[in-house]
Amino acid sequence: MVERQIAYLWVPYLGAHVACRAEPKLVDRPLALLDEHGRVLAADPVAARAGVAPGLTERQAGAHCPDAALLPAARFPIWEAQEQFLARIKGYTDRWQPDGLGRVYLDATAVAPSGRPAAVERELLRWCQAVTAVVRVLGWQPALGATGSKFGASVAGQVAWQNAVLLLVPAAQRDFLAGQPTTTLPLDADALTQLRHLGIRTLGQYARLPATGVLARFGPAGRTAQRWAQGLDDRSVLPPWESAEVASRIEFETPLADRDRLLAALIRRADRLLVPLRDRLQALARLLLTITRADDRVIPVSHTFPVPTAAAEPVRLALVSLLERVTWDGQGAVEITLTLAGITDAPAQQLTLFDPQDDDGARLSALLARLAARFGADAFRLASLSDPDHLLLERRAAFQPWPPWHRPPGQV
Amino acid sequence: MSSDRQRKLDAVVARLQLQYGPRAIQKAAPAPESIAYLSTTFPDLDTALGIGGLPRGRITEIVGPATSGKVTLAAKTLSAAHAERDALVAWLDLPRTCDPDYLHRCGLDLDRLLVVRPRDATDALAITLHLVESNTLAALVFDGTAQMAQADPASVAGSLERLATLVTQTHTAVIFLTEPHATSQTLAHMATVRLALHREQWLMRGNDVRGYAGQVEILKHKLGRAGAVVPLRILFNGTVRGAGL
Repeated sequence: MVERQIAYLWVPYLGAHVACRAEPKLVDRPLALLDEHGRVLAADPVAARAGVAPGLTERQAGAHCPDAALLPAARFPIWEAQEQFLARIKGYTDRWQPDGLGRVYLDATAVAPSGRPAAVERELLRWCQAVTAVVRVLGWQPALGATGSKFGASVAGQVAWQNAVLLLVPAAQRDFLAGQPTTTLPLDADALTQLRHLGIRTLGQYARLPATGVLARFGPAGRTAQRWAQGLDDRSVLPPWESAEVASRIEFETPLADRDRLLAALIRRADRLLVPLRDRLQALARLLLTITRADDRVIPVSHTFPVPTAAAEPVRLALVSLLERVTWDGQGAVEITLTLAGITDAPAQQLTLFDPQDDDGARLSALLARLAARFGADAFRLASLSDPDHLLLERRAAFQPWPPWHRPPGQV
Repeated sequence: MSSDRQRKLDAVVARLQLQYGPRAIQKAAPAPESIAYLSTTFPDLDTALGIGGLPRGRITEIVGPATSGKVTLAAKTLSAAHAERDALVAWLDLPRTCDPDYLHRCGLDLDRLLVVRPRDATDALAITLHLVESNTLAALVFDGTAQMAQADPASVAGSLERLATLVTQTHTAVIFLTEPHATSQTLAHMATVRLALHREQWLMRGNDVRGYAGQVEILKHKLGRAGAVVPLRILFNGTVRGAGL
């Protein structure tokens, strides 16, 4: 039987990279890009290390990294970069599944279908290196992880980091996952916080919990995540043209023109449709509304999420913006079809593998940012040797204010 | 103790704990077998201290006149903290005499050193409390107890008492550098370890000063034996080299 091989290819900080390329002045300071709802879409390495993660509000991002430039993302260059990225890898496999900006799953089973394990491994490694090389040509620093499951491959890819390939023998997957942090799981922030408070920080610890206890506390989504942590992830790579969609129709007895009531009805219906997605740790990439007006005119509108989501808030915001785009001409709606399309796997909540709260450097920087407001920024200094061989002692070193994003070398 | 008397005692203890809280009366717990420490990098001193160095999660006071080696001893201890991956340390520089070049020569990684220069002793103590409470530092050196004498004594004593409680819940070694004429009764009381440094002589080669020889006396040690006197020999020649470094 041919063993399944899945690769996860991603380009760290693609959004920020594209923005800096368009505006070189941005390189000088930490950067976070915001979507149209004011939520963080992408951050550069410095801002990400300070705790700025996708999904945070503008204010939260500002609190994590006060010096960050918080700019609206220019959608066109980012999507163009995403298209370039996908176009590069399409030649290497028939089955690929985008997983958000600059991230893609690749089915590599056909690369080395049979043969001795060493030969299969060699062939697979060569293929992985070729795939990363073709993305590197674009000036980016991709990372690739490959193993027998999608979750294992995505974690391996994130561990591999920039310009590296991490190939895991499927049999070694469980041991590898055991040492990784729970933040790699696509659980919601509340569940991750609960796990941290319970002292469960690695996938190995989570995998060893009793299944019934996990189901009771974290629901079906928690149990699914636990199976992944145990290395039991049987999801296959699902190309966009095979992605599922769910639709639901709402009919009104009398034409309804009141925007608030329409919105309330849509939110109620969307919430009901989102629950099973969350339980399966899935998310939707697109939201479509097909509105039939009282004059029989049909108006389709759609919204594409920058990062697939199953959270209620982004879906609510999308519904608000979709309803605003509809021209009503004094007519009410008699029927609305709500479609959740492009159903795919939910991405993990955090870009970084490491919880910023676990990092002494990040916590110290956050504390100093607060203390600087009270005691003055000049009170906290970073010393450096400006001219170590100068005859005068006082000329050998210099002090500068402690930069909020300062992280000692070696800290990720 | 007979089981009857034991039962009566347990009942009394339970009643008292119910009335005054569980911490009002407790059984004395045996001291932990090993205490977290930072090596001073002077092997003789580490041996004399009995626990391997200066204790973490406690207050240490180093008392000595100028040029007795207080800064060198503290800097060397901080450099030992850097052996731990990603360890951050802080130097609270109230007299504004911190010399990064010298600290660097003592082995400190300046990228992992936070230099704090507060306006006065009150700010310095408040910042120390915040930094210690954050539990992000492996060690913190507080240089400037002489300036503390100018602050309100009641406020200083209150801060030091709070610091003594806070620091036990962290892994930070707090080291105070004190001039002999500016010792604080409260600090002396709160310190787990007190060391006194005495410089005996400069070490010369020709007309050049190559270092100095001195002594460290363990004045107080709550975790080991006090009273030991250890010779200290510090050599510098472009770089600082303590004995055994």
